[in-house]
Amino acid sequence: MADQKKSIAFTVNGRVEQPVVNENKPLLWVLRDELELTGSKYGCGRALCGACTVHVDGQPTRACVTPVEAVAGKSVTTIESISESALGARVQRAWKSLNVPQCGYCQSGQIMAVVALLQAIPRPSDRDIDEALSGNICRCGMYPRIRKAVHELAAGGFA
Amino acid sequence: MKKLERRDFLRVTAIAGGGLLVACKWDGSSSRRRSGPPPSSPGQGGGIDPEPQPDPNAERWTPNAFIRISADNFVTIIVGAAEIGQGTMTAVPMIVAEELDADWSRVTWEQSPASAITYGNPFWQAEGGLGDLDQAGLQITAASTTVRGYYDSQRRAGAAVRAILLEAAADQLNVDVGSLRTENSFVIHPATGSRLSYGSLAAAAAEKTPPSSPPLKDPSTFKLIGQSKQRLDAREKSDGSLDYGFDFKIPDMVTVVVMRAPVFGAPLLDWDDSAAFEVDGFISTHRVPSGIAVVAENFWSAEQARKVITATWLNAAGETLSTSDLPEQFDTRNSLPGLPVRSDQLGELGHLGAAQTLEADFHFPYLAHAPMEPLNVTIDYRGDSCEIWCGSQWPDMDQLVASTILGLTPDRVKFNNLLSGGGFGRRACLGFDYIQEAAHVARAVGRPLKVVWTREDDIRGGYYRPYTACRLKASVDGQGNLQAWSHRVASQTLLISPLVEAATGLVTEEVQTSQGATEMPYDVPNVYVDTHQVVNRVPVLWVRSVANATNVYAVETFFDHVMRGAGKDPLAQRQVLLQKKPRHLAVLNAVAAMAGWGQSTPSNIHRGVAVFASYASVIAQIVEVEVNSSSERDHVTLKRVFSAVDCGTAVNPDLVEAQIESGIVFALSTALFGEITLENGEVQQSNFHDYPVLRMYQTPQMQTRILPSTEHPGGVGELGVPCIAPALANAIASATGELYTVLPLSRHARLAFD
Repeated sequence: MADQKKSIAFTVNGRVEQPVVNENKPLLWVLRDELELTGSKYGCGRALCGACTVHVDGQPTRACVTPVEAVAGKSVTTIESISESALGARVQRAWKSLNVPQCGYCQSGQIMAVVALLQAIPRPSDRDIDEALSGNICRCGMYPRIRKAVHELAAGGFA
Repeated sequence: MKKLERRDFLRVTAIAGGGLLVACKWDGSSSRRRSGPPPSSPGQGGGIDPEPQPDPNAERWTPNAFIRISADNFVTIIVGAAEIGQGTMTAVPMIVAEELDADWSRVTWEQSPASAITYGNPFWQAEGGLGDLDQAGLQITAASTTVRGYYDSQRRAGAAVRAILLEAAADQLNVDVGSLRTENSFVIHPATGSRLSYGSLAAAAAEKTPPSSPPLKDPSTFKLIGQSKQRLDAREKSDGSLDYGFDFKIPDMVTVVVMRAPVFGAPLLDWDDSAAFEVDGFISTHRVPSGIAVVAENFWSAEQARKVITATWLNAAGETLSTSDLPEQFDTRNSLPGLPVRSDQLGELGHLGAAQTLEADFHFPYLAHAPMEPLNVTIDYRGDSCEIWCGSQWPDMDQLVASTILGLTPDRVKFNNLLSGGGFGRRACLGFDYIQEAAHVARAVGRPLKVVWTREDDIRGGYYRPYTACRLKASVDGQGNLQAWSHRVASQTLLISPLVEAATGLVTEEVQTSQGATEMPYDVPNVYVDTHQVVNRVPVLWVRSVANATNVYAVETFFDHVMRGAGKDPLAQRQVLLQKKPRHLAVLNAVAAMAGWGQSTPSNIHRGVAVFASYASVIAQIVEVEVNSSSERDHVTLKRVFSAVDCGTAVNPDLVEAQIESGIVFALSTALFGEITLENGEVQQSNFHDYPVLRMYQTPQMQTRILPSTEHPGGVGELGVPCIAPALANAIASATGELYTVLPLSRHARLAFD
């Protein structure tokens, strides 16, 4: 078994981290187990549900299938620091204000996907929303509220 | 529901720093108590122990409280029901805070520990009790009972605490209680302008005896109940800070995944874990009743190790069924008379002499709950005691089951219920599979650990909604009026667990599988409903709305089918046959108005309707679709869903609406794709790629209207589910004329969902 541990350096939420890990270990489990950042969730382990969505150099990325070595030298942002950006804080305000979460388990991933969407497309159409957010499953079915939140954010709401 | 005179028993104690703590035994069936033995007698549910004795009855008061007022004027409501997403941690505090006149901006929540005695839902007592657990009330979050079960007792508790705060203020100000009023967690003496915070009064109030039957507010004066307040748990569910069970850690914890049999019930013969020792972080394997516990330092190591362990199972001794054989088997069962559960007038004989009789067989697949957070149990077993952290819909029974397996009395097992990442019934498991397994693993491993389920474990792990077949038969007379209606259900029994039988005695009649068939609402003279219980080794369980989802589908689509045959408008005929059911009629009329039923629409736009009552609530829903047919396929696009809801008092209307929306999405997943299949006993699905659920782009627009009401609240957690699949099928049928007798609809070769 090629379980070679090595030191991999990358930035997480603005801090340089250098965990000594198996380079094939998915980023999600490095974040959760080594760095104690449990806001990013496990839901499927196969990039099917989006609960583990983080940003790698600003791009929405499924941490559960991203080997940690793939983020070496890169900058990872997780739900734990998303409030530090003005947009992230607005998205979180929208989530609270519109009662978007039910069980809440998928919402870290939803919020990370929405922030990435609004960064890329500040005024997304319904089709843009479908394309950007259909990879994120919400079993509680809060899709109508997520859509509404995105539109209200795009219109400048929750500033 | 029975109306009972109720009395509660509150105990108030002072807490350090000048606060107040209220413990309560709320009473769901005071008739027993009025004639019962003295309060402290063993086995009886109520009464304040004047001097708590070191017997099991004493503990009901000591560790458990449900209202805490701190000196800084914060009010904490400790909630007995589980938060699985439905808003318990907001709705229940709103009920208490209303009568307490608490400052909502200074109200917080806490999940209670496991204790049916203190936190059990009074609903189950009021319903007549469940065997030996009657005394306790069950601390189960199921059957849409939280708000309707806790509503009265929580109001009375809030009012009683307000009363002692008023008394304490009257003492301090040396005025009459009658000259005082309360507002936003202050007692106010208008004559002098004096204002005393609840926090400052808490210590003095703790010396008072709360009234057992305090007066309650007139609903017209409510300030919180009926308002769409923001969820109290919204912040921690929007910033990643909430610790679900999956996130919870205890010191020196190891992680365990379990290698389970490839077919249900197959015994483990042998296994080889030598390759696992090459996996970094792998620790050990252990035989447990459900398979092989694979122990490692963390999840990833455990999962990598499990992949290289080989095991031999005696598959031949396990379940061997193939679901492709079930339609014929179940239809054969349904060709024989079952156990009657409803017979009106002539019953089955009512079909005689009809002008026309129609018949159809319906089939519904096994379904997995697939909550977003897969199952997990964190357990710290120390030989003579144990502590468990787990998101559970049934913490008191999980605690009892774990204690039995660990050979401990329940009081030696501390069960910490955590907020769950979804439940849908899976976390109120009648087989107690995950908690039993975790207790066995804890015994075998002997150190603090967490048993973690992957999504594959979840989808393949059983406890599915049972495979079900319904045979519907309807007869019309010469005028096209319904004269007889029969509904036969063949389904695997839900209540087969011996443990539940022993605990609750719920074996005499299986009503779970006939729900929604027995309650067929239409005014038809002759009605007959009977059931068959099928037994096999596929573990089954209730799934959100239980058998209503299947039986109401059969009733509502078959009703449309019969009406189509008679050339009648399905909505108008429902109105005719629901004249004696004003709540049904009201929601039906409301939803028809919302959707503009009967108004002209483009020729490819079609609508279907369904109506349903349960949980003391009523709902009518209309699904609107676009259908574009070619010679090969009928292409269906979901457009809009209209819902009209009568749930009595809506404590938090926005959360009611959220539950209806949630039910719609849940139901659409099952209507369109949801299906677990087995081949020679092996489950064929494993994750969201082959067990798809609804996604953003497939979700229709939704409009929900809650009808105004001041009646006692009804349940809403499951209410939005049962009508959706039939309303959708009826909408499609309006275009195609077909009766869709099989779910999921994707099984129909002509249907394509765009």
